[in-house]
This record gives sequence, structure tokens and C-alpha cells, in this order.
Amino acid sequence: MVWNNHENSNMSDQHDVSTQSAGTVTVPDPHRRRLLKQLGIAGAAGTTAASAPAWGGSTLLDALGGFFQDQYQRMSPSEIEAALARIERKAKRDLGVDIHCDNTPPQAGVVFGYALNVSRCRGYRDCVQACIQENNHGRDPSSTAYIRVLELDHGQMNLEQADQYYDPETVPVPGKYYLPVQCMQCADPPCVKACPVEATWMEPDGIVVVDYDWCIGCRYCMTACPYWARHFNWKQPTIPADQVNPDTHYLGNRPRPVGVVEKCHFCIQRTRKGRLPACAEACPTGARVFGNLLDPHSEIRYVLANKPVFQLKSELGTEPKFWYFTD
Amino acid sequence: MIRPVTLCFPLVYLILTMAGVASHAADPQAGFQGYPEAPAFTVLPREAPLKNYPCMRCHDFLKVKTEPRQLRAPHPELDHGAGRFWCLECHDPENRNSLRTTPPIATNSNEIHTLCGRCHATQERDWYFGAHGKRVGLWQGEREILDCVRCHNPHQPAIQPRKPQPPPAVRSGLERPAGRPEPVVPIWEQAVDGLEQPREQQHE
Ligand code: SF4
Ligand code: SF4
Repeated sequence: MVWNNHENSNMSDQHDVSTQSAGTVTVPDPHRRRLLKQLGIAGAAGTTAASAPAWGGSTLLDALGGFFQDQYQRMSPSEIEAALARIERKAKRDLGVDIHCDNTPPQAGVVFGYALNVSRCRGYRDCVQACIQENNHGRDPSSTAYIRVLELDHGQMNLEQADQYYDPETVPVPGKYYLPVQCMQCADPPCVKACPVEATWMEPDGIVVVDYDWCIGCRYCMTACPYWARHFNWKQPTIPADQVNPDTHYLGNRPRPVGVVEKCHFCIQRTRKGRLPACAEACPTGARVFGNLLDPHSEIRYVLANKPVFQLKSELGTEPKFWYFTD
Repeated sequence: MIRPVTLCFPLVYLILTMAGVASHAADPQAGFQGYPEAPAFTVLPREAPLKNYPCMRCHDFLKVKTEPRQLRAPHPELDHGAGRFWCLECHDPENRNSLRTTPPIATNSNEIHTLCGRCHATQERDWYFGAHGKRVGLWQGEREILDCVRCHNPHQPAIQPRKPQPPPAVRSGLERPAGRPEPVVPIWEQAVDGLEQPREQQHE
């Protein structure tokens, strides 16, 4: 990989930088951006503990540290730690909540897959609500949601004819069926190819993630995604303090800034710790099957081997790791 | 030299097999043994214990009446099997505490799937392997799943329609599309001239 050398040298450069004061950092790398970044980080890290009330907490230092923050994959462990601490402080300032933000790494030998039983789905949208709460989406009326449930006529597969705003007294409506759509975690994701700054990539466990701090908000990825799975934050998401989920992940459900793109990440903050995604947990009909594609005894492998499965728009060759099945 | 103990094993095995003890498959009384190749699981117990269990508290004193009729409370209304069913399809007439499976299980058992699976065998198989039903908690490690009766009321097993959660918001500055998408008229409801012709003419 291109980043390997880069990352190693970066790590040795950055080692113990927090113990040095900003004035005495010697920078072996002539790269200007790195110099600035190191200064920023050293400054932020060196004065984190000390209070600077004149600036309303450590806002200025955090702003500096954030400005010089590198892309996630290129950050050294100490840089990531500083970034996580900044996220936690920012949540405290903005939302008034003590959150915990980590960067739990992928598990070895695990690639996540999802299968959804179309014959069981009844269009309740319980998964949508669970996702909004789990993933710290804004609660104001125009905020984003990762899952769209499409209502389609029997005998139809034309997504242009689908209705995502259905709201009858009771579902399922006779003659209709329901097709929840979210990020398919494509094995060959066009969104990743479209991003001009490498703010989005596929992790080793198959989850396509976004570094919200590196995203420039150009929305190229949104046009590249064939499944309408990416969502843009037109406004700063606002969440009442008592509704914030404090258990967050850097690449997952941490509070996002305005002007960046986000998408379903298979509840990375839960699934990397062995838990089921919030949508699977919320589904009252058991239509959602989640698991490890590399485990031959997993439930999802049974579904793939024994049920009639299909992928959405499989002709595009994006190889979704999200299957639909019927029984 | 062969020791007597070594000789004993085949002998004991033979006797046991003939008695139908050693091999479950040979014994019809042992009933369905599940799918050994399915991943191991624990069934989460009922949320609340059955209210009127044990049934024999009352039924011990009541005569067994087998003709189907409308039952009063505390018996639930039955809407299972499209009118072809009656209590005694599942409940043992002689011992109301148990259900009619092989071997019989208690009505408040956590193994209800063995009863449901007598008719719904494909669903039961899928449930064993995880394609039907619901796993809770972790995708990794111990597999905890819900039994049939956690989602289906055994007396009215169809899941009832209900109000969906609110629809998604429309992004500020945009408007929700007026009206719903044009419904598609299925081909079988469209008038197709060619389909009206008698078969004989098409063959000529
Ligand atoms: S569904 Fe869309 S956002 Fe998700 S990986 Fe595929 S192209 Fe990317
Ligand atoms: S919006 Fe962000 S993630 Fe999407 S292509 Fe642009 S920079 Fe990349």
C-alpha cells in the first residue's frame, strides 16, 4: 500500500511529540503541511490539561488541532488519540454530553454481510427510528436517515415507482411490498472511486467508512452511489442532550459536522464489539440477518446458500454485501 | 490376548440397539432431534409465565369434550389454520398440561418450536439455521434466539398490521413530491387483444 512507509515514518516522527513544547519540535520532514500539523498537535496536546478559560475552554487549540488533523488512515496512534479527545471535548461543548469516542479496530477474519427477507418486511420503519437514535442523527425535521423503506407494487421492481413517503393508517398495505434500502457496503464501491480526497474507503472488515473530518463535502460520492445511500448534512445536526448516544466510534456515529457526507456503516461502533446493528435489533419481524461472511456456519452464509437471494442493481457490478431474499 | 472388557462393548451395543436405546433415529418415541449441523443456540425463555398454567388445575375435574365449539374465557379466541383447527390439534386431551408432540412437552415449555415445527417444518428448519426468527444481542459468540411464541401468538399467529413509524423528512428547501407515484397497472389488468383470442385459432 502507498501509505505504509508514510505511516511508519509518521509514527516515529510523532512519537512522544506531546512531551515536547511547540517551540522545540524539530521536524525532519520538509513537508510543510506536516510541520504545521505537528505544531498544531503539539500545541493542542501540550495544553489540553491546562485550562484556558479566555478561549472558552480549549476551543482555539482544538480548532488548531482539528485544522491540522490528517486523514484517519495516515494518523499515528497518538494523533488519533488526540483527535478522539478533541471529539469528546467538542461534544461536551456543543451538546453538553460526555460521550466516549473510540476507534475499535476491525476483527481479523471478519467481513460483514447483511441479508434482508423481503417476504417478512412489513414496512414498519422501526429500523429507521432505531438507526436515527443509535447513530446520533439530528432530530430536527429535515435531518438525514441512513435507511429508506421503499413501498412498491406487487409484481414491480422499478425503483423509480417506489414511494418512500408512504404513511397509511396500517402497514402492510394490500398489494404492496416493502424494500428497505441502505448502504450496501459494496465490495467494489463506486463512491470510494469518486472521492477526490480519499475521505472514504473500505475497511478490512468490509465496511465503507467516511472520515468526516477529511471530507470536503463535494458530494461526488453521492452521485456515484447507485443506491442513494449517502447523505449530506445541510445543517448542523441538533440532538437533545438526553437523546445523544454516548457510545461512539470515530468512523461511525460520532457527532458529525455540517457540510459533510455520511452513510450507514453497519453500526461500526456496535458490530466491531460483537453486537448486532441497531436496525437488526429493532426489526420486529426478524427480517434482518447479519453476520460474518467468512464464517461458514454463520446465519448469513446459510441464507446465501439456501435461499433465493438477489442484490439490488447487481448488473452494475458494485458487488453489494447486502442481499435480499425471499422464502 | 483379548480382554473380556473389550469383548463387552460390541455385545452391550448390540443389546442396546435391539432395545432401541442406543440410536435415537431408530426409536420413533425419541421424536425429532433437531438439526445437529445447525449452529448451537440458546432459546430465550418466555417474557412472562403462562397465566393459567398448569391447565390440569381445572381440567382435572372436567370431562374431556372433543366436539369443536366456542370456548369462553379464560380460553383465547382461536384464529389458526383457517378454521380447520380445534384446541385438541395441539393440546393433549388427556393431559392438558402438555402439548401433542413426540415426546410430549409441557405447555409452558421453552421448546415450543418442536410443536410448531410439526406443520411448519420449513420455518422450523430455517429457524434452526437462522434464516427465520430473530437473534438478539450479539452476532458473535453465544447465539441467543427467540422462540416462535415470542413473535407469534399461537392462537392468532398472523402478525397484525399496524401504524408505521413516521415517514422521512424532506430536506429543507425542497418539497415532498405531490401525490404518490403513478400506480402501475399490472399486465393482467390491462386489456390485451392478443390474449382474448381462442386457443384453436392461435395454433392454426
Ligand atoms: S451502497 Fe453506495 S455508499 Fe454504500 S458502498 Fe455502495 S456505492 Fe458506496
Ligand atoms: S463528499 Fe466527502 S466523501 Fe464524498 S466524494 Fe466529496 S470528499 Fe469524498
